[in-house]
Amino acid sequence: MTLNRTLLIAKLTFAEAVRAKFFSLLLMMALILVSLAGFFQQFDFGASALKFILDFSFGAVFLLGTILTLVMMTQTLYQEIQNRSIMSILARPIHRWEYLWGKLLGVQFLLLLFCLLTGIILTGLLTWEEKLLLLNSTESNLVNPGEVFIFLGVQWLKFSVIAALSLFIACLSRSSLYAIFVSFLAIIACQLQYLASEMYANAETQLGLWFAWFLKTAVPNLQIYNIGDWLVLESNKEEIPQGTLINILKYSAIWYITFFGLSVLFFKDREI
Amino acid sequence: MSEEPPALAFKDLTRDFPIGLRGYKLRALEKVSFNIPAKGIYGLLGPNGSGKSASIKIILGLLSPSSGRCEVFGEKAGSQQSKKKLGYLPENPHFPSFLTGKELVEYFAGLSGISGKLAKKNSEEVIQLVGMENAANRKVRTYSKGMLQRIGLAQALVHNPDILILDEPLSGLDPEGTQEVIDVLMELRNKGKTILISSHLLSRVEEVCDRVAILHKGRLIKEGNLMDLIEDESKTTSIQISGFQSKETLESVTRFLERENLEVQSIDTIKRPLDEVFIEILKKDRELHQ
Repeated sequence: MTLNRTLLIAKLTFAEAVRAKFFSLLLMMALILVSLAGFFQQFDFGASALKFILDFSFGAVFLLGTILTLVMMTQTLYQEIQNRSIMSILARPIHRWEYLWGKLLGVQFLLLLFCLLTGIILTGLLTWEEKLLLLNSTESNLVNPGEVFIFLGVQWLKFSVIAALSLFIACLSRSSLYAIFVSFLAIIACQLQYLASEMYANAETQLGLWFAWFLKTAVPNLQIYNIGDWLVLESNKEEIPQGTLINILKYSAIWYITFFGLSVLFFKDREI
Repeated sequence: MSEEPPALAFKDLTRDFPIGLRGYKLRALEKVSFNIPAKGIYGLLGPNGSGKSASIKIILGLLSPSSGRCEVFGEKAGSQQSKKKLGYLPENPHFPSFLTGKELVEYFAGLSGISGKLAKKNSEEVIQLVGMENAANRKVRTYSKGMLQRIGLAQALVHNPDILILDEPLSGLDPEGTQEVIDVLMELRNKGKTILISSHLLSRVEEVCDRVAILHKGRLIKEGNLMDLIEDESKTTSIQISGFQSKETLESVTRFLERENLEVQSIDTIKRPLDEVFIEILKKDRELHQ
């Protein structure tokens, strides 16, 4: 029953979000940027041309995907609070955590669609560029276009963690604008989390050690998801440490559950 | 034999809202105690800021009381058991505009734990009850305010709740829309439902309510049977008589009343209210064009 109700909310959240102009706009921007990635670089030879396309496309997907995640996660919750439709839902025999999970899953479905569509365009582009490059090369294979989808799956895990983080901040906040702003700052902190790890390794005082340990532990490291080159470029294939994907999956699950749990905790007694 | 619990019971209910960081509190409800009996239409009346919305939120479990207790048929308000017994229509309801009326009602049936054929059957029944069967397959965005209110009633009724809670159900409706909603409410009352209406549109509420509670600044200032309440507060009794053919008949009635030591304070020709006349004209027009 719980899963039925949660999926119902998720389906409706997805259906509403996919009709939002903001989603269409960011999706179009991502698709255009990925499609035009080849035109933004000077073709030299082989892997470097493909690497540029990959870096540019992955950068565009990360940037636009992150903005999409922050805005849609916050908006989907605040819209229902502001227009009071949340009252009709929570007046039903439904737990608040079921509602929040439904909202989170709905946004995750949306992000899956985003990753899937950008993945299709990127795979097509890479295959095309590889064909052009192999005309003048003796090498047999430069990229694994199929691995693009595995990488975008990893990106989807990252977006899911970001969505759970945004949900947590939205549950603490009183306005959507504030929630989006704070979430954005939090994402920057997560991108720079590796600095805390370095600080921890090089701390000279006990206080510095505790502070670095706190930062290292309390903030997820979003850099661990940057494995695009390893996955997609044949020249880097052997460099992937064994069990990386499993570790990323576990890491994502821990942070997803942590942020979702905190969201539930702060939303439990919130006045609607 | 144990006595059946009231549909809704407020026991010393108090709710404070903290303001700012210094710990100031705004008291929305102050030791409010009263019972709402099962079956019939109950009006929760009061001006803006009187505590009506806080009371409704507490019943629905959207707000917890600072002290005191609220019960729904003996169950603690906000519990899953109590929510199963409640149907709710918010003020100016907002629903996903891309859904059809039927899809909307089925969605809420699903949220209430009803699925499959039963959800479809219940949805069809309540859509028929609110008179929306001809517009059920239209998108919600094409609905008028009155239709939105009626489809809102359908979603509130789809799981067959014992108590229906309506927040300003007549607010913003034209006279025809108001009459349509009132007709549905009367039908639900006849079916034995308990209906709680929160409103400040007293003239329309007066038409439908059996009992009322009046809140002011978070305190309960009056509670009871509507007719008793009106009689208690009235110093004069008004008798409306129609069909006078001549001035002489009126004078003889006046003389009779004076002989009985009753003072006639005023004699007026009473006009029918405009909304009544408006509905009548529309009704005639509809009959003419059918």
